[in-house]
Amino acid sequence: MEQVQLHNYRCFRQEQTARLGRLTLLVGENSTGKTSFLAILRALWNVASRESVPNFREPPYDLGRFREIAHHRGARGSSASTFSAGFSATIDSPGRERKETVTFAATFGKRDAVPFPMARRLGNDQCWIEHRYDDTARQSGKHGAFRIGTRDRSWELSLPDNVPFAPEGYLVPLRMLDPIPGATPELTSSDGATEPLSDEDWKAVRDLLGNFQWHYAFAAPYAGAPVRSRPLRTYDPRTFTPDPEGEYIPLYLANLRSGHSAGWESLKSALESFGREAGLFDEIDVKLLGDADGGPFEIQVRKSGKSGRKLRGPHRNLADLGYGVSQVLPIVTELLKRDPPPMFLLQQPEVHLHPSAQAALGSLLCEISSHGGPQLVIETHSDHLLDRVRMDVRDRRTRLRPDDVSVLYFEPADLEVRIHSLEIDAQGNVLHAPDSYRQFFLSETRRSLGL
Amino acid sequence: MCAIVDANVCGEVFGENRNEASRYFLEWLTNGSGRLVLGGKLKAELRHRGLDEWLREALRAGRVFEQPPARVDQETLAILRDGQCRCDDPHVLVLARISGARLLYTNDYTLQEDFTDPGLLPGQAQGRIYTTVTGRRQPRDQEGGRLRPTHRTLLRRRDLCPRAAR
Repeated sequence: MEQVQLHNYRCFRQEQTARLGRLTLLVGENSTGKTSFLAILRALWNVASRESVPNFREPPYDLGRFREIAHHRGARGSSASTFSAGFSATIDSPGRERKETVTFAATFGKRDAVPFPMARRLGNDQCWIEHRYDDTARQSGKHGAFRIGTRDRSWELSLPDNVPFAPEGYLVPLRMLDPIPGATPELTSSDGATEPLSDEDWKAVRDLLGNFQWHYAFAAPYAGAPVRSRPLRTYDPRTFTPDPEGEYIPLYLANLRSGHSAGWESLKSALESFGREAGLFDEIDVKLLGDADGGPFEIQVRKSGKSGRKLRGPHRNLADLGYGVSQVLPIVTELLKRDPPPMFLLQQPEVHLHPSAQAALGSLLCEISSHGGPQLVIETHSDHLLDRVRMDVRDRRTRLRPDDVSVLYFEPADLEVRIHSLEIDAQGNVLHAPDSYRQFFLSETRRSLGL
Repeated sequence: MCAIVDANVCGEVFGENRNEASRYFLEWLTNGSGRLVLGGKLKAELRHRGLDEWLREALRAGRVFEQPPARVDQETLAILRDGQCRCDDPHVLVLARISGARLLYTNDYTLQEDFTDPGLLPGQAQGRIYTTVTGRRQPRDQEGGRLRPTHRTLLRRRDLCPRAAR
């Protein structure tokens, strides 16, 4: 995703656009919509890729019902009846020599007290496809209506009644437009003209649909919680279910250690590299307490003396360390795993970390996002993390370029919030910052220095 | 809008020699819409005065823009080779050329002449001067530091830094 549009969603009343980079940092005061922003990214991904009705209460986000999600200015009758969100992205296009920019937008209405995607629209520079449920369709259980458009014309298509309905929780698939490959469905031109959609336009529509769905058919984003699970002295193997708090991470590590030695060695090495950089630990291991796989186990870490590896400390249980290691371990493991998800949505990964470890985490984020890996969207309150990103970009420590980084500043204004897309240049300067950005810190510093 | 501060007035803006006009400038820089273009000499002066913390915070806040030292040095040599520059602060002109900033806070009259010379600083907007001395031969006194309407007008202009207007 490169740009995200929001309108009437939570605290974002005005229509606005936010730029996403390979690495995007969300900054601003408490309760300014940063977590809501992460939630809508996941919701959009679900609507676009799975064609499912997004659950706005799925952990780690709980935004409530429709009335808590649509913008509400406080006065009676001032709630928005719909809200909308969308994104644009550049994707590979096999039919074209260059990549193409596609846009996807959804309008959410209220259905059974929760948000429901009443309309979806997918487009590129040649054509667009729209699906819309109207009130009649909702009440009568019909499929809703499709529209297809080119630059100057549009056509409507209604699916016959014998087409099966989408399962509960899912939307009418956009590919229903083209039920029989090679066949041209009956379309009604919306401007009354009788000229049908040309074969060339049909091909453009099919290519758009195919490329988009292929691109977004992969795994969903990983959404991490701001508070991770408490460390345990001993872990008992349980059901392996990934969760936002990282409760399953110790078991993941134990399974990897006992099952796939190459994968374990690679991950262990990467974790230890970060641990050393952050000053948290030099070695990490899983100690199996039973005779066979499937028994209880411990997560242990070890520090070495700075003068050399000959000075090695004892193995220490994760539960015997401060919260810093246990809170960052799930996040770092997720980031360093093989075959990561296409996007990470993380809330305050720096919590409980010393500033030096926060800075090391900033470098890790730069490293991961610079290799064409997952797109990272990070909500943070850490100046040290942000400073490290600026410096690593300036000093070219990784291949991350200035325009790969976006800083989204959430500026409160009365009862609304405006998102400012800040940039970092090759000198590490912060560009396009509004006057209110970090005003509190500037005033405090000036007062502290007696200026 | 962004400005350049001559290192020679650093004490007036950030130090012990503050006056009404320099306070107004600092207020504009900290709480208003001011932005500062920073080069080597001013950075060293700020550090010398123990203002690293303010500088770090201003950089984080996007209120100060550092220019690449290597490029500043290279273009400073080029200006010196041209021989057009009369002042002994050619790097200030280079900062203006690189950043597009056309407002300079200085009390150095020769630098003022160079900064307002379109031959040395080409561009749509001519260089403008924020100063607390009122004439070439007038000694600096209490009157010079008084806040005048021209000070307010200069800091309201939005055309003196294309970068901030982007």
